[in-house]
Amino acid sequence: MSYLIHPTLNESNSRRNPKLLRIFLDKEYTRLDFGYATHSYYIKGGWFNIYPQTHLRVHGIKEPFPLTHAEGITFAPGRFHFESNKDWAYFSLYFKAIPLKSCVIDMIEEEDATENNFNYYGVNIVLNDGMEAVG
Amino acid sequence: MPINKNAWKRFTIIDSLLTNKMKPYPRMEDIIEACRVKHLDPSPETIQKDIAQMKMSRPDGFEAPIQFNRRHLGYEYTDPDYSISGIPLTDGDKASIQEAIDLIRIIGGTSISAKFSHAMEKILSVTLEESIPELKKQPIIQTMDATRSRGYEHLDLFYKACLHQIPVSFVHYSYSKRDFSAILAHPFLVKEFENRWYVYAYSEKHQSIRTFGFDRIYAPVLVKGPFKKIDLEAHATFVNDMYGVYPLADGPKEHIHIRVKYMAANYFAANPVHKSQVLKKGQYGDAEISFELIPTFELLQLFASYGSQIRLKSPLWLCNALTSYIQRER
Repeated sequence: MSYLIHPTLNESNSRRNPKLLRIFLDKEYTRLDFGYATHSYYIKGGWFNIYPQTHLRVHGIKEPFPLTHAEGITFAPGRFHFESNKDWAYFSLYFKAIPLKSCVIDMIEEEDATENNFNYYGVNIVLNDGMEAVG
Repeated sequence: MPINKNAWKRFTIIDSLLTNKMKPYPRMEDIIEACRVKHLDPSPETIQKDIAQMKMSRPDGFEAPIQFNRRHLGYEYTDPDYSISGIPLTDGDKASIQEAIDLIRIIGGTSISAKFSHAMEKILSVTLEESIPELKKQPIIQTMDATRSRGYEHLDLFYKACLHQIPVSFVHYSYSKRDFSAILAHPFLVKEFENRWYVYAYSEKHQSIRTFGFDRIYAPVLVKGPFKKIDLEAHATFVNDMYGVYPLADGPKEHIHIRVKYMAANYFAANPVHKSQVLKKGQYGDAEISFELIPTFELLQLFASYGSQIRLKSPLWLCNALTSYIQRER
């Protein structure tokens, strides 16, 4: 059984691009869905990738929840090169399952983040807002 | 589970023996012999497997009440009125069904068409004494061989969601805003327009009914929860009053008046855009055409595609929108 949440984000400390769109909570995994639109200031839209050491941090739990696999995005040091500055990509990141309960999480690609890292802080997960995915 | 043509043929043979009141309780040897007459040479194991499959529940089998009668040492239907070919079809019926299967195959590609073809072939196979030879003929109906558009694979899911009134969560990418959003939708209609597929749904994010192109939808998921019901009758009128899918404004249908030169007039006369189209020809072959339609983006595109052959006369706001559209496209 998977619970699906459309999270509301604190815009001030969250990246707008890629945009965190959905969170799936499952006994086996936690999945985060993102959408990315390329920037016009990169030639042909530039490239993107995700660091394999990316992890989730659940507030109140010391141990991180590592990234297990990704769909729609390349692991660093590989790069996915876009073809234009009007391209877009939808991708999903799968992590070790976090507890099936309401909590606040961070997604950390790099602890000492630059503006190029995909870090998200204070994502509020309210299990009561979740919908049960069918099938 | 797909069933091959020889298996279908054996099923009909077994069925014909089991329903033969003149010679009840056919034995294994009788069934094999009857198959040989029809140029099949099955082993006893094959026949046993066939009987087992005929007994399976639908859609894999026929739920045939077959049992081995130990007293008579042969097979029988425990229900004497049972037959897998309950409704006889005429040759005309069979030909019509075959044509329908061919057409569905042309359109095909979804599990809906696969299920339909499978079901229809099942009907055909149990009614035909001899199976139709493999179709190696050249197609005599050809449609535009449309390439699969992105998102077409969502058709089954949205069809199911509309049919069973199940909400759907999906990610949507807006081409114009270049932005993603997570949508919780209550879909009620799937529509195809010029080989592009769309779903009409109540969107919780927008708090209104919206049209979503399949090509912009990612990872749709059916979710449990209350379904917002739509007044389908009222909305059917709305959908039927449009050419295309994206209305330009939230208003009702309007009287649209165009004037076309003789070449375009021929096309409009041959292929009416909408059932409300009224065409009055002038003495030089030109025409005045009117429609009662909700103006859409697709209607604008259609008018623009005729270039100087067409002149939009009213409503004024649509004339301005067409002018802006043409200037933007230059």
